[in-house]
Amino acid sequence: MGIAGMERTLLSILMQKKTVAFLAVLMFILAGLTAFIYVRVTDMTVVFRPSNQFWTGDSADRKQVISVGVVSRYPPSVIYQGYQPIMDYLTRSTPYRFTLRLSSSYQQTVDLLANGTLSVAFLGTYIYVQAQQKQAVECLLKPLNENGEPYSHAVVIVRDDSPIRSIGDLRHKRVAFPSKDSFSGNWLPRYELQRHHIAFSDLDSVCYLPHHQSVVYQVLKGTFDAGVVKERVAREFLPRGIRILYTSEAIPGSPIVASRSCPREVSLAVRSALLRIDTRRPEDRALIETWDPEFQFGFAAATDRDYDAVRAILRAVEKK
Amino acid sequence: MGNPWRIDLRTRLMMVVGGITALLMMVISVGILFVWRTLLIEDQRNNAAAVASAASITIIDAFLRLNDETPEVEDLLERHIDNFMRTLDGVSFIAVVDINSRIIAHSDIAKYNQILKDSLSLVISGSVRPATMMYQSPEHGWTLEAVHPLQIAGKRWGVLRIGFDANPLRGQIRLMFFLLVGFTAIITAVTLGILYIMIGRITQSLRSLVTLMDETNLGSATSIPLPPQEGEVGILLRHFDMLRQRLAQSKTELISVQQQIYQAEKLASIGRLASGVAHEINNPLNGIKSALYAIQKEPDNREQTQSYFRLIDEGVNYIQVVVQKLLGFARQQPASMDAVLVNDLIHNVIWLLDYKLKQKSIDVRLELDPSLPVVRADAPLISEVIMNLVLNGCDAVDNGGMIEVRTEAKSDDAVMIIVRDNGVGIPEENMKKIFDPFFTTKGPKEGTGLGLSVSLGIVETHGGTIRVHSTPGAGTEFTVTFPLTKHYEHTTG
Repeated sequence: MGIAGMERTLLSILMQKKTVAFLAVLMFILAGLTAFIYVRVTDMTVVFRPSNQFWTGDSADRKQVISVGVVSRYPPSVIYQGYQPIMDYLTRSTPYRFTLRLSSSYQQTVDLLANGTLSVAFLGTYIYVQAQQKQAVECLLKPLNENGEPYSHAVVIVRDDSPIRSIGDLRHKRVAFPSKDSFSGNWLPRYELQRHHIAFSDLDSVCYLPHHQSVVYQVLKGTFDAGVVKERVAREFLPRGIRILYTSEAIPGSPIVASRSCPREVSLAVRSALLRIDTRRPEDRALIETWDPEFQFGFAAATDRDYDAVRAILRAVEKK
Repeated sequence: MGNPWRIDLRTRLMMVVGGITALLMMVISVGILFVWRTLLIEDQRNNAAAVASAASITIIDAFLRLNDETPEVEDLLERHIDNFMRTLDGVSFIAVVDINSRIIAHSDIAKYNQILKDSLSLVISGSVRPATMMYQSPEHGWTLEAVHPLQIAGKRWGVLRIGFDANPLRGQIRLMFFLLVGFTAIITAVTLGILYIMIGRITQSLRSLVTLMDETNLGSATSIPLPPQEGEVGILLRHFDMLRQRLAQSKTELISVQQQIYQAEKLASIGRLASGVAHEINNPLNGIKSALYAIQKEPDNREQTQSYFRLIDEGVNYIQVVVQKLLGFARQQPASMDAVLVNDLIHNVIWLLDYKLKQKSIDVRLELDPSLPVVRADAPLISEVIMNLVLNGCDAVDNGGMIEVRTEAKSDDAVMIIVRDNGVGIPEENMKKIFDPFFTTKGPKEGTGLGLSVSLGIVETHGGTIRVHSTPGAGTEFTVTFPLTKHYEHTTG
């Protein structure tokens, strides 16, 4: 082998060593990169990102707690959805902390008002008239409707595809009502049926259900041919397959009342805070849009005399 | 040898293309992996949030019913949690934490009434928005936890925390990772394999081309047979053939020019011989002239006339020999390689230079090896080399100097002609230039500067070498070596 040959061989060995070293470094880098990516990919840690808003707690202030009752007209979750924002507003606007206290019946709310557990309550029209007879409560406010009037209605509903076209068609039909202590539970059977010369016993079957929504669901399911509910509830379900068959004459809206034991300044605070709502103001409209639909048009001051119309209806029934 | 990092075309291409392919595949795979991973995690987080949201409705409902304070609803939370644990897949735990960070219901009964005091739990307890988080716990491994506030407007009962087993999710991500790594490796390997084959075909063509080039006689007039397929290699081959033809033409022209230069230098040498030759001719001419004069003076002296005629004849013969030797040196003929006796050529050259050498009283010593083999060479060209070397020696020595011409056989494969003088020698700075064309230390009328250059060309044409050794002030020795041709080397002794 000549010198040139030896040089070539040495160079080849040198090159091989360099190539092997280069490949080794390359493989090392690749392996490191792969391991790094593996660690990054398989580390699924997602940290908790709290929102800017924090719940500050019920007892953040030292306000006096005022319990507010609501008759069991709706399921508890619906009441909380619609009434808790009113409590929050009242708490912000007055020196008191207002908390909801739900009842299992209309009467339980009246009882709690009477024994002083509740200071303020959202009553139904009928139960108010009944309670007022016992001098148990003081009427503070009544809600306005979409026309700005302090009235509401009870309505008879049927399914969209129902053949029932008038009150007269209800004879021998199954009819569902909400609470016996609600206006809707009394108006039709005790007043409107008689006006249409239908005896209560002419109905095939009758049932009083816990809530207004229960009545709608039973009618939709076909368990009952017709039902009576507050107009606010009927309107909510109109797009879902019901039809309003008949509407009652205007009656004063469901009152907000104070118990006899409720301090005067509390009832005044409630009254003034709610009367302050002006739906023409955008900030007030934004405020009340989460409230129960019945209270989305503002309030009017109420007196006991406003409910004489209801009493008149009931008296008319009793005379007959 | 060049750069040791220089590597062959196939390796370079494979490294570059393979590297780019691997890099691209890695980037694409990593991109897909991260996007897919993000989508997967987001999907799981959304699902967890939706489940927690749905469950929170039930839990809030339970709280609302608990307000009824009836005994049958007291264990409502527990019943709901049991139901969730039974019906929801992959749930690790469900906890209901009140506003004071106290666990009021948990899928693990042992955790009841524990107060959560860690900072995260405190933050979670106050959060009013649903959120999800993922972490690794010693108890459940990877866990996706959905937190949902149990709150309606300003009424808050606490938070619902549902932990989902995220280990299967991690398994999916790992599987995807290994699939993509494998996919990248396979694609890279396949690409490299295809490249290896394709580049192999190209380099095979190039190697064939190189072999063909090596086998091609550059002096041949016949063209290179072109490959049947057209393409880069075909084009390369065609252009190589054109280059070869141009090279052959240049070589022919170069040989022609070289011969002209040789002839010019030879004529120049003859010029330098002219005075000696003239003297050689003049002596017999004077004798002839004297003889003719004597014959004219005494035409009837028959004996004297006969004697002078003999002298005239000798003179004319001598002139003929001189002219023949001169012609033998000066003849211009196409280069031909004949059997040459180098010793005879040396004798001729010394004879031609005799007058010039004697003019300077130079002591010429010939030590010619009588057993010198015959050389296959062009005799006039070799004569020219010898003459140039002797003339250079003649110019280098002073009057009465010495020139030694020696021949000897070098082993079995070469003969050497050594011309040594005891002249002025060549200065060190001129040693590298003496073979350059037109380099001369003599005056314009004494030399062309082409002698040694032409001599080197002639010797190299014969495959030989010229070595020079000189000591300034002591003399110079030129050693010309001619290789022997087997056919002739033992034919004469």
